Amino acid sequence: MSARANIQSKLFEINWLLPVLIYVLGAIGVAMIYAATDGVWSNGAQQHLVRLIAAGGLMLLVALIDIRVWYHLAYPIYGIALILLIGVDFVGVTINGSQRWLDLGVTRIQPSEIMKLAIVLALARYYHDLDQNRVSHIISLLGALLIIVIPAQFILRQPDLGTTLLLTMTALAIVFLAGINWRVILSGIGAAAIAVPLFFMFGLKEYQRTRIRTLFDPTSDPTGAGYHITQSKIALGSGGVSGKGYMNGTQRQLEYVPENRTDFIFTVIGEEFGLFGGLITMGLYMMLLAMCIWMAMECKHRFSRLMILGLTSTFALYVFINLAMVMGLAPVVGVPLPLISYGGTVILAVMFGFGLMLSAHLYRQSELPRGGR
Amino acid sequence: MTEYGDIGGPVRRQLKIADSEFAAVSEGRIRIRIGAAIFMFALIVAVIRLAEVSLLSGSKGGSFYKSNEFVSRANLVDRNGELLATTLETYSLYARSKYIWNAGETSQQLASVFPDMSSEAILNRLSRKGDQLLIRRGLTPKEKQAVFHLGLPGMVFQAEPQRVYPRGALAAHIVGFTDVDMKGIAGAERAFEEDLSQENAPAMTLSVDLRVQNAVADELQKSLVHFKADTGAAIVMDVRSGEILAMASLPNYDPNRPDTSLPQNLYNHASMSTYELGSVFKPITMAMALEEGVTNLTEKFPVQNPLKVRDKFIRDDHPSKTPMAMPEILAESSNRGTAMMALRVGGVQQQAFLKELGLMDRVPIELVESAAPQVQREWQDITTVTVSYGHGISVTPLALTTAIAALVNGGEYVKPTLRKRDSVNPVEKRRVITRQTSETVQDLMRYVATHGTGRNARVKGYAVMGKTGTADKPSVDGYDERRLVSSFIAAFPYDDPAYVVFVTFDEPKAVEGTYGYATAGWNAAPTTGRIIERIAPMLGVRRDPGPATQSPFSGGRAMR
Repeated sequence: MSARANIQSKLFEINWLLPVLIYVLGAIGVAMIYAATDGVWSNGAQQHLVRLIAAGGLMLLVALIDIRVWYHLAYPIYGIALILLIGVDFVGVTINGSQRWLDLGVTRIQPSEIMKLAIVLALARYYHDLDQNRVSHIISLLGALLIIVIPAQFILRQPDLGTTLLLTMTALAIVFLAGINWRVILSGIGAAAIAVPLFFMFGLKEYQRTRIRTLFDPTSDPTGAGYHITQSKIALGSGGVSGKGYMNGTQRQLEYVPENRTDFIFTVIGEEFGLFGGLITMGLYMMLLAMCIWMAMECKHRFSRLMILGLTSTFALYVFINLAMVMGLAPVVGVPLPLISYGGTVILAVMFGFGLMLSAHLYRQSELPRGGR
Repeated sequence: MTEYGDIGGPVRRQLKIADSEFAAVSEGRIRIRIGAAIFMFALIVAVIRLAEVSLLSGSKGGSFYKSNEFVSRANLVDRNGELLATTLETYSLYARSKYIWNAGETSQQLASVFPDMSSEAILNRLSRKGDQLLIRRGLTPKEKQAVFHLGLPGMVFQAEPQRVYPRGALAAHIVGFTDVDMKGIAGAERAFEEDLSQENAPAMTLSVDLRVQNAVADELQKSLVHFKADTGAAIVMDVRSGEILAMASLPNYDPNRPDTSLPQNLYNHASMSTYELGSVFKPITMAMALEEGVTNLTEKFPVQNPLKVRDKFIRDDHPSKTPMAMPEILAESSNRGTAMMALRVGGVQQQAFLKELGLMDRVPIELVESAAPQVQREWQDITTVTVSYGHGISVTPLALTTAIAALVNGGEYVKPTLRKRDSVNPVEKRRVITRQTSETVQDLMRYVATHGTGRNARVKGYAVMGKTGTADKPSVDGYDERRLVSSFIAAFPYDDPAYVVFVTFDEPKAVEGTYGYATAGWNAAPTTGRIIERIAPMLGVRRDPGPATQSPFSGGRAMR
C-alpha cells in the first residue's frame, strides 16, 4: 500500500462525527460574534471562521500522525513546555501585571497554554508505563506529583491562579482515572481538608488571604467584577424562554455587556435565543463531551484513554467555568467559552487537543510499548 | 506468543495478567462513569441556573416594549445644594425594519432632527440586519417630539430614564453610579438605595462640599502626576460631626459612563484599599502611652541603642545619637522610641485601644465600599512593636482619618458619615481619651509640623498639625524598600482643631526637587499643605497674619 493510499484510507477512518460537532459549535460562534459586533463581518466573525478552518487543518494533521509518535513525543513536549515556562520567569514579557508571555521576536507565545496539553500527554504516558499494581505506591505517587507541581508552581508565580487551578484539576482527574487506590484518594481528600485551611491561615500572608477571599466573594468588589455579572445576568434574563430573535438583542445593541464577543458571548445567545438557545448550546457541548468519553473507552491502551479523558476534562472545565461565570455562579476569571468565544490562542490549543484525540482513536488498535510491568 | 501460551506455569501467569488487566479496565470504566456523573451534575446545576435567570428575571426585561412609565429616583446634592446626580427623561429611538420602505428618505429626515448625525450614518444603521434597529440613544423629550412630527413609519421609542452626573468624575467615588435598571451599584447611589428609590423621595443632601472636593481632587491629581504615583487618595473630615467634606480616589472615572472605565479605576482607594500606613500611627501610640500613664512628656528613651525584639532589630530612619523624649521621638519619627512605649503598655491594652479607635473593624460608614482592616491573629510582642509604628496592620485611609480625628477633637470617637448631619442623622460619639491627652496630642502634632518631618506641610497664616508616614510595601518575600506608600495626616487649626486632612500616595517616585527621596515629607506633606491653603478660606478658618501659634515644646527656637 502506497503512503498516499494509506493516508487516504486513514482519512476515511477518522471519526468524522467529532469534527462535525466541533464545526456546528464553531458555526454558532461565528453567527454569535457576527451578532455581537452588530453585523459587521470583519469585526471578528470573519477572523473566527478563518481561524476555525486553519485550526481544522492542524487538527487533521495532528490526527493523521500515528499515536505512537505522540506517545514518544510526550516527555519531550512536556520538557520543552517546562523550559519555555522557566524562560518566562527569566525573560518573560509583562502584560497587565502578569508575566505569562514569551516574546519570540515575531510572535508572543503563552507557555502555560502549551503546558495544558503537555501535562496531559506526560501524565498519560507516565501511567501507561507504570505497572497497574504500582499506581498507588508511594514512589509512583511522588513521580506524578513532581510532574504536576513543577509546572504548577511556575505558573502560580507568573502569577496566574486561574490557570494553575485548571491545570491541577485536570492533572488530578487523570490521576484519579489512572486508578489510584480509593484509600489514597480518601486520605488525600482528608489531608487536603486539613491542610488547605491550615495553609490558608498560616502559610499565606494576610494580603494574599484577602486576595483569595475577594476572588470567591464578588460582592466585596461591587464596582469591578460585580458590574460585569449584573449586566450579564440582565442580558441573559432578558431573553426569556424563546429569546428576542437573532440580531435583536437590545442589551447587546446598547453595549451594556462588556466583552460580549469574547468571554461573555453566552449572554448574546441567551438574549437572542432565550432559554432554548442556551439549552441547545449546552446540549451540543454535552454531545461533544460524551463523544470524547466514548472515543476514550474504545481505545485499547491506557495512554490513549488517559490522554483523551485528560483533554476532555480540560475542555469540560473551560465550558463549565465559563457558564458558571456568565451566570454569576463563579467569579469573573477570564475563561473563554471554547469554540464559540472570539480568540485565537484558545482555538489553536483546543483544536490541537481534538487532533490528538482523533489520532488516539484512529490508531486505537496499534501496539504501544510498555514499560515496567 | 501463541494465543493460549505453553502448557504449565506461563499460562497461569498470563491469565493472571489478563485478570488484572480486565479488573483495571472495568475499574477504569467505573471511574469514567464517576467522572461523567460529575459532568452531568455540573450540567444540571448550569441548566437550573439558566432556567432561573431566564424565567424568573424574564418579566423584568422580557418584553421589548417596556411601559413608558419612568422609574423615579431622587437627586443627590452636596451640602450647599449643588446637584451631584439627577434623573433625566430620555428615550431610545429604534426603527422597525419591516415598516421602513424608503431607508434613504427616512435617514435624511432623521438627520434633520439630529444635526450631529449624518444621513449616511443613519442609513448605515438602518441597513443593518434585524427587526429592531437602534438608531440613537438619549433623546430628550423635545427631540422625541420632533421625530414624532416627522410622521415616519416604523419609529419606536423606548423610555429610558437616564441617571446623569453633571460633575462627571469630580466626586465619582462618593456619588457612585447605577445600573441600567437605575439600581445603585456603587457609592452613595448604592449606600442610600432605599431612600433614593422611594417614590417622590426628596433630594438627599450629602456631607460633601463640592468646593472642597474640587480643591482636594485638583491638588491630589497634580501631585499624583508630579510624583508619578500609581494611585492616590485624600479625605477631609469635620472632626466634630464626622462629616466627610471631601473624599477623592485617583485614578477616577466618569460615572456617566462607568463601563468605559478600567475596572480598577472604579475602586475607591480612600475607603476600600487597606495599607500598612506606617508612622502616621505613632500619634496613636503616644496617646495610648499617655492615657495609660506609662511615661510622660519629659522621660528620655535610649533610642541611640540597638533595640532587638525576638530576632529582629528595630531600625530608625533618622538615627539619633542621644536619648530622646516623646516630642522629639514623634518629630524625628523614631521607631525605637515608639516601640519602647508600646512595649510598656503591652499587647492586650494596645489591641483594646486600637479597637476603641475603630482600627480593628470595618469603618461604620454608609458606603458598602468600606473594607475591614487586616489584623494579625497572633498578637506577639513583635506585633505590638510593629503596630506601634503602623506596620503589620493594614487599615483604610478612612479608618486612620477617623481615628486621628478622635485624638485631636478633644478625645471623642465620632462615627463618620456621608450624609449632612441633621435631626435624622445626629452625631454619634463616645469618649476614647481624656481632653487633656487630646490637647497633648495636638501639641505633639503641631511640633512635628514646625520642627519635625512634617515641615513641608506648613501653610502661612494657618497653624497646621501633622504627622508623616512612609511604609515599605509588602511583596512576595518580605518588604520592598523601593515601593513605598507615603501619607500625611494633618489637622487644623491648632488653636481649635476643626478638620483633619489625610493624603496618601501609592508608590510615589523621587522626582526633581525631592533630593532623591520619595518619602512622605517630600510628597504627601506638601500636597496636604497646598490643600489646606485652598480649603481653609472656604471652610471659614481665619487666617492669622501674625506668627502662628507654637507648641509648648518648641521652646526658644524660632519658627513661623
